[in-house]
Amino acid sequence: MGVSVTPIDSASEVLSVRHLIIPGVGSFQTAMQHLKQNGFIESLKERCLKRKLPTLGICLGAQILLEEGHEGGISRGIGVFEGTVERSDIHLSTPESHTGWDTVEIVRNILGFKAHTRADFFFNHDYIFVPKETSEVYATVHHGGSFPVILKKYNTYAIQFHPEKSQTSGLSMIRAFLRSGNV
Amino acid sequence: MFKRIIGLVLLDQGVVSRTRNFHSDYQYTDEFIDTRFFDEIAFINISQNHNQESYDKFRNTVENLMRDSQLPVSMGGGIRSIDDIERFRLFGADRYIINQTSITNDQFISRVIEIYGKSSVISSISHSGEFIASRRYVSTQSISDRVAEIGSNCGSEILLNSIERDGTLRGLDLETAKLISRVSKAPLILSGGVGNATHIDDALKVNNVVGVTTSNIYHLTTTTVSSWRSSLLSNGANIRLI
Repeated sequence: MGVSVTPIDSASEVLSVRHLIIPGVGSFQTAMQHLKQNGFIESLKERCLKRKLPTLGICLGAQILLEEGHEGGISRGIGVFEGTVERSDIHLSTPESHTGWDTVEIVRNILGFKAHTRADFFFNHDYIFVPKETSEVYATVHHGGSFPVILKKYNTYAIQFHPEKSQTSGLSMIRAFLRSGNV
Repeated sequence: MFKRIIGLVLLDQGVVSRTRNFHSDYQYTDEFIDTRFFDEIAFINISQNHNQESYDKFRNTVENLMRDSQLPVSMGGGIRSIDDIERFRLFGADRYIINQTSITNDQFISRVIEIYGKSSVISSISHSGEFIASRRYVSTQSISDRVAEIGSNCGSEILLNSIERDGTLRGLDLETAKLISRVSKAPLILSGGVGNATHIDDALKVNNVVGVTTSNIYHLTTTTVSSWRSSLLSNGANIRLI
């Protein structure tokens, strides 16, 4: 993609990189413990809410951007978005993990995708976003009920699916993110 | 949600291998595999010795095959500890295939689910017809009993490996899948025996079957996964248009 990628391991770098991607595999509580231990929470809040720098959370990396998560017990999230992350089977009619390719419905223009269009992306999760602000919902999916899969606030994007595992549609979304926020 | 065609790549000391009834009988170069038209790729390390050398070779081949690919990747073969999982995670695995054919350590599976999430675990069970089996023997334990024992500790999906069908191109074992669907709601991936697109079409219609794996077929025929996708889509199969 013609960009240089640097893994970061200090809270100060959270504020210095131009674009930040927060990937995430694992459980909510464990991830938050790691971020807390390493002092990342405040810098992430400052990056997303005060400086409004381009930030992309993917899957668990997106879930921790909400206020509270229920995986592994109730724990606080970073709180960029108001709302919680809850077990999908409480809200949906299917008890199984949402694993595989599914069709995303774009609600508002986002990262190069037009409102009211559809595209297929790869999902792998058991917990879903339950945001308070419907105005922050940019895309949804239907799997035993409809639920939000892209949230946006300022220049922070929370994406439940895996664009990095979703071939051409995913690549174009990541490219659009890397172009975003450039002056 | 779409059903999936999963490319299964068996690596013996890092070399792509063909198997029949779980015995490796031929080896290929990895240029034989075009990953673009699959929905997911699964790599299994089938080396006899799971030593550092076998993992290094495994990693080289995986990196070579997935260099320009943006597909979900599952990995397995010899997973017995969190260290084994961490190794596959560093190789780029999104999900881990854990063999639960014989009695396994339930605490280990629970720990994996606690750390990595339920959706990152696929349980793999080898069978011959309705009985649990390995490369060397067929047991008297029924696969339905084993699935019931594992219960919710199966992770997100169960991969059913039919040793009897493996490499035969005779079609997937739909009877066993139907048997399991009656006792468990777990999503199933069927493996072993795909010889043509109809075999996939028939399998994807079985309750709870969410995917099938294909492997040897591309080495043995002139068919490609791309041509199969077209034929399956025109028959109305619920797979994604690539």
